[in-house]
Amino acid sequence: MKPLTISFNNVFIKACSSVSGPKEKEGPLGEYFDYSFSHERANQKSFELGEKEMIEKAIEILLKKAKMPVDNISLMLGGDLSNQIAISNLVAKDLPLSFIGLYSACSTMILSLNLASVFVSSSYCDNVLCFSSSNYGTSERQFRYPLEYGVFKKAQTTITVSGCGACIVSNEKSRIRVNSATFGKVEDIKWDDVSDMGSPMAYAAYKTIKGHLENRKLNSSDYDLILTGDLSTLGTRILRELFEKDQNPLFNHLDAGNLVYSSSDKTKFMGGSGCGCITLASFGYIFKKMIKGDYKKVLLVGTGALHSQTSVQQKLTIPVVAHAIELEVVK
Amino acid sequence: MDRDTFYEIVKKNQIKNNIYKDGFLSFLGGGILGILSQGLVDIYSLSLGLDIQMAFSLSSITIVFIVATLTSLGLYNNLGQIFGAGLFIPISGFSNSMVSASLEGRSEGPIYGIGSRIFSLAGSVIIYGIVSSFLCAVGYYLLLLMGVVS
Repeated sequence: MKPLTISFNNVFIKACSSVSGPKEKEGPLGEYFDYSFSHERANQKSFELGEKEMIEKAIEILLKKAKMPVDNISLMLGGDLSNQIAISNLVAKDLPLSFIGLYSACSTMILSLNLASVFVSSSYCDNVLCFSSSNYGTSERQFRYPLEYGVFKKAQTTITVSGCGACIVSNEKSRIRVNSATFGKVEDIKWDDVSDMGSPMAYAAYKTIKGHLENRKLNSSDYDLILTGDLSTLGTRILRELFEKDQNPLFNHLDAGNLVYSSSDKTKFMGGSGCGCITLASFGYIFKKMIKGDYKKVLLVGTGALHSQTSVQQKLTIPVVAHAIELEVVK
Repeated sequence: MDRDTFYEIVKKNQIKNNIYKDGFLSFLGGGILGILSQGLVDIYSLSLGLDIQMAFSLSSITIVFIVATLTSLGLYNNLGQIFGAGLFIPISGFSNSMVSASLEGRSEGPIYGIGSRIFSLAGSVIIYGIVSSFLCAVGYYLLLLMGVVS
């Protein structure tokens, strides 16, 4: 079965913002972020409030950059990793915008961009605000262990990125155009090892990228960059091998999980993960490179592992998904 | 692409921890902790002249206190990553699990946060510790009845 790909011709990324935590600021992309907090808690009482503060900061910077009053926006889409996307809803309650909360684990950013493009393309909305966020503090305690727990982490572990980003998808012409969007199918490869999420997500990324390329009748070499979300070092290897098995190697591929943290930083194990990973890498770094002229045509592929702590403890398999969005620089 | 091909690729790329290095470091960590505890027992019993049972208890309590302090200062999880089971299995791991869970629960208040969560990781150790000590006691009693042990 092929995934659903929708093409657009009047959808643009008007502006975007990126806000990171301290560890991401120290990473190779640190200088590109709009703002960085010196602690994951962002001077708040709890990690949850800190994550809320980060999202609010990203939206505030975004509106300033876009020079757009909030009244011009018709809809907001977004989500995070907390249970019942509680943090996103706390952000939404303080804004005068219709809101659709989304959860697609670490692929939430791309899913919200995809849906925003559909709303804009069909002329229901002129401007849609998208955001997504993850935070080391809130995610570790929810999906893994307390932060100070001295449990031995396996080599294939990834570390949740603290960061968020927001952007405005608009029908008003700007430099980055959305060409098409692919909505991935939820895949089950019978995976149950929660310490390695990169490997199963590589399978979802493989399916979605392959489907997208087939639907668009393109080759991976037609893109200047294919950026996956958080496959990490291990998942990246597996993704590339999956394509090699098809006698159709994947060209120009990078993974955001390997970009956000320095590869020499052994405390980050296989790299970064979480919604914030592809968000920071694309909104902070890739979009700037696109406008500079380094990349013309880019495919962003968000990857998510759709498990909960309960489902993992019940030894259920971990469903995975990947969504893709194709962007191109226009004159 | 079938499942078997996928798992073949996963297997080929599998990253394994170096069990010899990790095993050695655990041995080293556990050993150092053991020496430290014995040193404490000696200090309490020989230098301070306390009863040996009391010295053992005080030594454990001191280790628990040191680990709790290191956990609160955010230093213990780094040690846990280096020395693994060497620090995880002894009473140090128990102390760390309780303190880290309660630190984490602070934002949810004293009842649902600290109180409910303090045993979220250590609870299993306690319950299965009690069950296994009961089973051992039953086994010992049976051996005693059979005259195998005295």
